[in-house]
Amino acid sequence: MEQNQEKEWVARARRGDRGAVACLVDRYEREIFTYLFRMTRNVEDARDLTQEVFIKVFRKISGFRGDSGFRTWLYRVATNHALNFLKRRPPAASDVPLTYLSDPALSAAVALERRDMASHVTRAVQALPRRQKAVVVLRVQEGLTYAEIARVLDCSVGNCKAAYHNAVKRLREILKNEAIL
Amino acid sequence: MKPSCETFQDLIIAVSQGEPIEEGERKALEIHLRACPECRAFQRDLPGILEGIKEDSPPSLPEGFFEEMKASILGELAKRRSSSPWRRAVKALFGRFEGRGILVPALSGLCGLLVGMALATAWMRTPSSPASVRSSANRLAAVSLESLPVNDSTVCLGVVEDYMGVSEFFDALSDQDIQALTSDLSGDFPDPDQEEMGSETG
Ligand SMILES: [Zn+2]
Repeated sequence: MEQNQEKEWVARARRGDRGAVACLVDRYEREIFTYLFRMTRNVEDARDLTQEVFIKVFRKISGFRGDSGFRTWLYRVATNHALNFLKRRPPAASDVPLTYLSDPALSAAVALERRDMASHVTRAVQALPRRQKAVVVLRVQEGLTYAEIARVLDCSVGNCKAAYHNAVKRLREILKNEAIL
Repeated sequence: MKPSCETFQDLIIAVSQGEPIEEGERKALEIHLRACPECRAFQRDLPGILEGIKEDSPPSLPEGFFEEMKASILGELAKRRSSSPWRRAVKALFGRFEGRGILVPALSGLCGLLVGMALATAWMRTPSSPASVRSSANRLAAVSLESLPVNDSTVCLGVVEDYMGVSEFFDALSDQDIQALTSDLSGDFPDPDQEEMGSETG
């Protein structure tokens, strides 16, 4: 049902309906911002990029043929923006420290341990090459399938899988070298 | 790490992703794991790494952060739309071809567009030139535009806007100039944006 509603919004947005554009921004701005934050580790950069992505997407929406779904298309534009941005400005070490939401069901000790692990892993993810990082974030955090990631990154499914596998192995290497594992 | 370990670690990752693996592969992995402490360690570490990635959540943001962002996106979109009469004009021309599925490489389309724009610009800039010159420039411009692949109209518009900087020139024209250009080049075809603009203001 949601899918149909979205298709209708996209169709209306293509005809220039501002209400439909607002609905689509509403539905996806948090998700895209979070993704871009994970890629850049900086709130201001993620916000600016998110705005650019939505403006670009809606300026070009008349050329969108819906072959791969609106969400995938958004991720594609967002990923291109993020990769270009990271090429110009790799994340600084100071961008990395983070706040984590704590799960109240966990005991304090376990929560602390997990948080530590998460911050180490997060730092390690930042050290990955840009495209590998995008694959890991899209797969693990954003929950995209390999097929979707392939469309986002404009590569084959096999290529995506290989990039994901290499990224995971590399993450483990980094964490082992830092004596985290 | 033995080369075969690489393969088994790929299998371990595949299993963690819920990918189907063959029965033979599963058996081989089981046997290898019993003999290889390195791959056992890999299998043990993997869930922690994936959990760690998932645990990472966005920072706390000021209240109204997303509302503000949405407002600024919509504001920017509204500004661009209403300040670009030249986009309306060119889109009106493109509208004639829409849905005909003409397959012409985008490059030739872009060239066509540029030639068309250049001629139209020359024509617009010299309103005092003799009628014969104006009408042949006009015809040429129309022919260039006829050859465009219209599926890529948006791409062409984007490229022209971004790299040629022509939008400023066209935006400086009055609506009347644009109307003259559009009706001269597109004949009696209706402006497909008319409805779009109408529904926007309504
Ligand atoms: Zn092994």
